[in-house]
Amino acid sequence: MTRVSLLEREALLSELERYAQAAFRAGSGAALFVGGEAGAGKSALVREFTASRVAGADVLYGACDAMSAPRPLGPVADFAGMLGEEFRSLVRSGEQRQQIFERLLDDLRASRNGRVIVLEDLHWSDDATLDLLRFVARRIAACRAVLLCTYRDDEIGALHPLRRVLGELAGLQHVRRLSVPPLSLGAVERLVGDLPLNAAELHRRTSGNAFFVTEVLAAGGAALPSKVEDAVLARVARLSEPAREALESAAVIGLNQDLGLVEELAPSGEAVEECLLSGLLIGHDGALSFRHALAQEAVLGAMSALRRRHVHAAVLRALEAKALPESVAVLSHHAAGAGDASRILRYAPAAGRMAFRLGAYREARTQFARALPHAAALGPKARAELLVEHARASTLTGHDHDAMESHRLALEILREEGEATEVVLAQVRYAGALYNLGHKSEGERLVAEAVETVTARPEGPERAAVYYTHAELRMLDRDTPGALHWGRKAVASGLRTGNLRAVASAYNTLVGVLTTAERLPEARRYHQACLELVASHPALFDPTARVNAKVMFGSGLGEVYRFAEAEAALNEACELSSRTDNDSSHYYALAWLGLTYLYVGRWAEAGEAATRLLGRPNSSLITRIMAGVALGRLRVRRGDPEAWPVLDAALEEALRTDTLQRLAPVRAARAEAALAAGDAELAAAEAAAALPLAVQQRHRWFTGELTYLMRCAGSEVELPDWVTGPFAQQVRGQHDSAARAWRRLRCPFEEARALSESAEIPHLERAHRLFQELGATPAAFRVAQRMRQLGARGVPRGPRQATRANPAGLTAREQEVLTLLAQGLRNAQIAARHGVSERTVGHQVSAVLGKLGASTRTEAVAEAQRRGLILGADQRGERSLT
Amino acid sequence: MPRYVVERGFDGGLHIPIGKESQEMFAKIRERNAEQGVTWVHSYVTDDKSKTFCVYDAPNAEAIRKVAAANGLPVGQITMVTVLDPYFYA
Repeated sequence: MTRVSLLEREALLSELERYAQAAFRAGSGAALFVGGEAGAGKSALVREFTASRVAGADVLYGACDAMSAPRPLGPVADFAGMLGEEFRSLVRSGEQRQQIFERLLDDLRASRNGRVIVLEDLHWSDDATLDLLRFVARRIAACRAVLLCTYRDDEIGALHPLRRVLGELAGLQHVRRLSVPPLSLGAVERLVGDLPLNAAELHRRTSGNAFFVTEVLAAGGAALPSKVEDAVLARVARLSEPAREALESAAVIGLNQDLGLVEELAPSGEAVEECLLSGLLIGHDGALSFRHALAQEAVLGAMSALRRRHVHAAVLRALEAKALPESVAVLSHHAAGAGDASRILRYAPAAGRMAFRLGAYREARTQFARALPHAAALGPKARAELLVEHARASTLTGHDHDAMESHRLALEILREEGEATEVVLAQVRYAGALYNLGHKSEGERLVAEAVETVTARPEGPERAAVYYTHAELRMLDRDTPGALHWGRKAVASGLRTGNLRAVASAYNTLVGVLTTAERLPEARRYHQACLELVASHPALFDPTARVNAKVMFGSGLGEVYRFAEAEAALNEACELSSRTDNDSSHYYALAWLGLTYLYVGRWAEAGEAATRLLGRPNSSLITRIMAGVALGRLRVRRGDPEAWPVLDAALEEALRTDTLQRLAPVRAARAEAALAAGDAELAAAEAAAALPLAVQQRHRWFTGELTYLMRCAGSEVELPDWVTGPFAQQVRGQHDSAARAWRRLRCPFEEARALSESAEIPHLERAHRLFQELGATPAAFRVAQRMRQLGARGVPRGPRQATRANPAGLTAREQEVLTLLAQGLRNAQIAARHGVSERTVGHQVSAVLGKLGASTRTEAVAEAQRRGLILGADQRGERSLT
Repeated sequence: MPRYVVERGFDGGLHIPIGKESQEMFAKIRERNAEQGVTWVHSYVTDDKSKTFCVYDAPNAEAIRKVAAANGLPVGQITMVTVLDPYFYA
């Protein structure tokens, strides 16, 4: 790449340099993503930057392979050696990926001169590298380091994993996207110089693509090719036959090759020389590389299928002969290219297992799928094992149908050839996959068969696994006695036979069942047992086990309105999972935290959590449903716009899950929204849609709320007598007891709603105050109306009025509290005066102190007097009288 | 970016300081708004200064409430609107 073309990159280079300086001098790191089309000059830019603009810093360079199943953490392997022999062995071993991530981060944190990590061609990245990217990018802000990545932005579609990662990182301040634009006409003119070429035509034909332009110029510009591949191939055509063969070998080997390997495969040393002279290959430090990936792709594309297979086979043989074994993913790649079934079987499964261990699940799936068509040669048992591995990787990458099919085949094989223990395990796995896809009865039949088998046989570890699966399916069916029975048996059997994984899973199931059944002391005991078990066996259980237990427990508690306890569990789950980037658990826990905040009246935080989650591209279905319920209810209760779009989306998603756990909250939220809009008919229809299922599963909270909402809509629906709780009390007209129950559960909106059904003025006054404090404007308005109808005096008109735009930024309520503070009232007295809790007043006083910059109440009052904030009674906006 | 109208009530009337204090106050408000992606377009104030109708471009109602709290302003009713003017169909 000539100097001239890099002149148009000066602005970009300066920008990169600024980030580098901020990182190296101030320790304020950045993650930079350079996008551009293929051939735009991203690599050239990066190379110029690392060569001349990073004075003194160390550069670690890695690139992603253009293979269908690239080496997991391939780019890291590229530079691992530079971080010491220990790190290199760690990466080679293909285990312990969390350790690999953390060691790398430690190195970045400790470096004195500054570090630049370059990761090229991320559009070809494997899953493990993407996870590393997320891990480092989120934590690099406090390092003297810059992470510099390149990718082809026109090759990542909406569903491409890299696009999702970029979306997730988008909000972070120290993450930046840059773009390499095409060359301008002026630049092309400068490059053409004196050559007899029409620069304008060249610019138009190449769309300013830097690589295309320089290829055409290097070919002498005899004719203007229409595609960049043609430009490359025109150059190739001028090579001698042996040189072309050498070039083809290099293309098959890959982008960066060992010089020795290319020379070995080439017809002669001169052939390689010729390639180097032509400029299609570039040499540096004993390594060869294509001038550009586009050149490699062009050469590869021009080879016949037969020739490609032949070359793959030659490369494979050469790699096998090497003293230091090549990565098994690479060997698998060439074996597949050569169509060599026995070698595919030798390498692909091993490559799949390594990828799986490193969390590169997409790559694992590809490798296993590569081996499967030839797997008959492995013998039935090995083939079945491979099928199960394929199924697992498929489940983890969302390919549920493939997973089901593989499990089914594995079962079929094992029925013929396997032992009884293997058959039952295959049965429960297949049953699980069937259940995932909604084939419930078929799944249950299989599990029943498996249960019968293991119960009849002498006890082995597989019995606990089977019993646990049975318990899980019973739980999903809301069969509480069944789930408890089989869950307990799974625990007992697992403890006897040492199958601790099954025990932990069974504990979680039991916690879920008991929490829903509101048998909380028992639930807590099993939860404790589970936590102790996973903590005492770190070799068996990684940190996600604790997170899962906390999320299950927290969300279960939320479902039965035990929000104080739920908040603690969910907070811990959020905290733990953010440390390991365990995103799906993290977001689900956050969604339930949002709901918790909604119910306990912390509406600003609820809004924050819900909008953040719904704004993410990656949230799972259940996360979006629960966040949608929280946001929908919040907007309805505040009278804010756009509640229905959120609730419509939530319904569509809940219908896909087809479970009561999701449908009931969504229908209830929609019924409430309909009532707020005055549409009783719609409200009744929404609630009625989920009520029968709630009754059938004897869920007292769902049944209670849905029945209550139907009654509000004027429907005469019956309340089953097993339904207890505050909703039921409201249906039965016991507003007072209901309000007290809601108060104990710390749900201010529900408490106010219950109070507002009373005909007694003091109750209505309290309801009004609660609604006002929450910001539930429509409900407050309705209560005020009712109070006037009942002849009450001194009812506030309209929404809360503020005193003048407060110079100290105090809200109206805070101003009131300040005034009372100045009068010498204590928190308890202020609380009584305003009809709120002392704790609420405590928060308000803290806010006042904060805004006035005071550390004591006396200071605050003095400051307020100085600023003229203490108002006399005549100046305070007293309530108008009707 | 959707547009919203926010109605606000001020008992005793809205008081806006003038001069340097006012410049600083408005600059702070703009800064806090920008952090949440909120743009205050302009406001209509009644003659007795007891009520304002404020026009915002914001991602959602929650962002408006967040900046309102940070700026010490009340929030009455939030309504989502689209702009229509006499030359719309010209």
